[in-house]
Amino acid sequence: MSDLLNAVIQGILLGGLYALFATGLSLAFGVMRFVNLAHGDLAILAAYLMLSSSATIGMSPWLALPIVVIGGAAVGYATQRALFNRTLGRDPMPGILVTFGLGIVIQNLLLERYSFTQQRLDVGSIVTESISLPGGISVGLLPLLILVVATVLLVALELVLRFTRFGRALRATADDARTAQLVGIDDRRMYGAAMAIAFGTVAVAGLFVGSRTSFGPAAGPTLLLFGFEAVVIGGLGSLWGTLLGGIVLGVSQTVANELSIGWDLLAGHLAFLAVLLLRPNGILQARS
Amino acid sequence: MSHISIEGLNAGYGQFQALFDLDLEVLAGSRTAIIGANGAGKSTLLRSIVGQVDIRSGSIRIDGRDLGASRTHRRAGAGVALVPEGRHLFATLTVRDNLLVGAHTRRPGPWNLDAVLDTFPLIRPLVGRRADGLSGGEKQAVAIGRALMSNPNVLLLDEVSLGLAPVIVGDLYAAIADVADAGTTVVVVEQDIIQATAFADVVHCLLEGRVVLSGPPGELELDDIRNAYFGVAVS
Repeated sequence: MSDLLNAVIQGILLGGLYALFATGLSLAFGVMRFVNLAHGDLAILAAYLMLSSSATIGMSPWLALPIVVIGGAAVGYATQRALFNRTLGRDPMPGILVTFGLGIVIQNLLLERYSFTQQRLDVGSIVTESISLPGGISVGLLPLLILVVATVLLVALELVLRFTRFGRALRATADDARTAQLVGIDDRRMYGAAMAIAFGTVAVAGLFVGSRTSFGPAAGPTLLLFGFEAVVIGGLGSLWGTLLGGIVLGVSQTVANELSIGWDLLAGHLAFLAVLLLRPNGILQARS
Repeated sequence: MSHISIEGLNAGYGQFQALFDLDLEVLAGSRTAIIGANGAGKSTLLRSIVGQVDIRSGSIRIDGRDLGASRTHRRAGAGVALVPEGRHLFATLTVRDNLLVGAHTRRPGPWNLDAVLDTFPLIRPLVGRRADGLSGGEKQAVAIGRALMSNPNVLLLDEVSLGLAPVIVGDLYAAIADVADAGTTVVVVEQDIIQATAFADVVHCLLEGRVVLSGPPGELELDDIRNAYFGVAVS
């Protein structure tokens, strides 16, 4: 019983990582119905950048993180304005093709530069530290930190969306971009801002992905799959739903693995399919 | 003084041309009504002024400044507000947020949340409700309120009365008249000739993308308006 409880707790913690990663996917889809297939590769790219900064100038990934986040946000804004905005329209296919291609470019550049060797970010002793709970359950400090960071980020983002002038403008643009222009909102700029947030949060996810498990240049697509499952399970376009979806996915993976080793990935996909069958709009209804 | 000055406007959507060599002057502080049948180009004319229609040739000036290719959100910032046909509220936003987002341009002026709610008391109890749950009349009031929140110099209203009960239309037009009296230039597009002539001090009748009849409603014969409206030759 305590093994099962332990699996549930570990699953919730794992869900925090999925949710953190999926935040940007959820936001981009919610605001502009944009599907970024390179999202996973961007997380891995961020992890490699932090790896390089620690290998070349000895900068700890923790110190490199703010730089990568801010740089990532700037690149996200520029990419949206220069590239992704040109693909927006009734047809989602141009955006899917462009980001699919971008993902392949990133994967191959990483392969060229870093080879296929599996790497891991060194974030210090936090990786091995844990807190003991009654019943022989121990909670790793790093997974706990990831869940806390994911929750704080999602809550902060939700508060910004709900209560600020910028958030209102972003939600209005998501509802009806043409009418948003009428009240003086530059929709293209809003899309840029949404993608800046998406790239910034995925850089944070990159740090945690790279420190929790080992990674290689081709790790992005698997991550993307989990991220999409988290977004769809929770409900497209809903940030709370994304957190919940990540946790549902994480728990089903760890619990299945506890019952029978090796069943985790399949169980996660089955949970995703079950939600699609029973609640096609996700556990929480989306905003629109 | 002329507030909106349109010269030789040819405009449309893609292959389809809706306006042909259209000239129109709207005086500052005036109440103008654009009338005409379905497809006459009334809505296209308003969408041209806010920059949401392809303009092939001709010019649109506001306060003497050519709008050129400036984008819609900049025109809103310059004080041009459109209440679009079909209201187009932000469906998932509350009434309060719909109104607050109307003030996005931060233009200074007399209009704020309280002033709008005073003008449209029917929406005061609804401020916390999502916009997609409102009735047609409530939505129209919020749509007008949202436009007022930007403290516009020019208020363009497209088909205010469409689909609404006469008593509500009367209330809305009374509020719009107050806005005009406070000095805002108001242009309404209206299919209801009686409503349009009662409100406006200048009426322009559009037929197939051209202005075919203009003048103060008092000087126009109702028969002439009807003929222009339906495309019968005007003597």
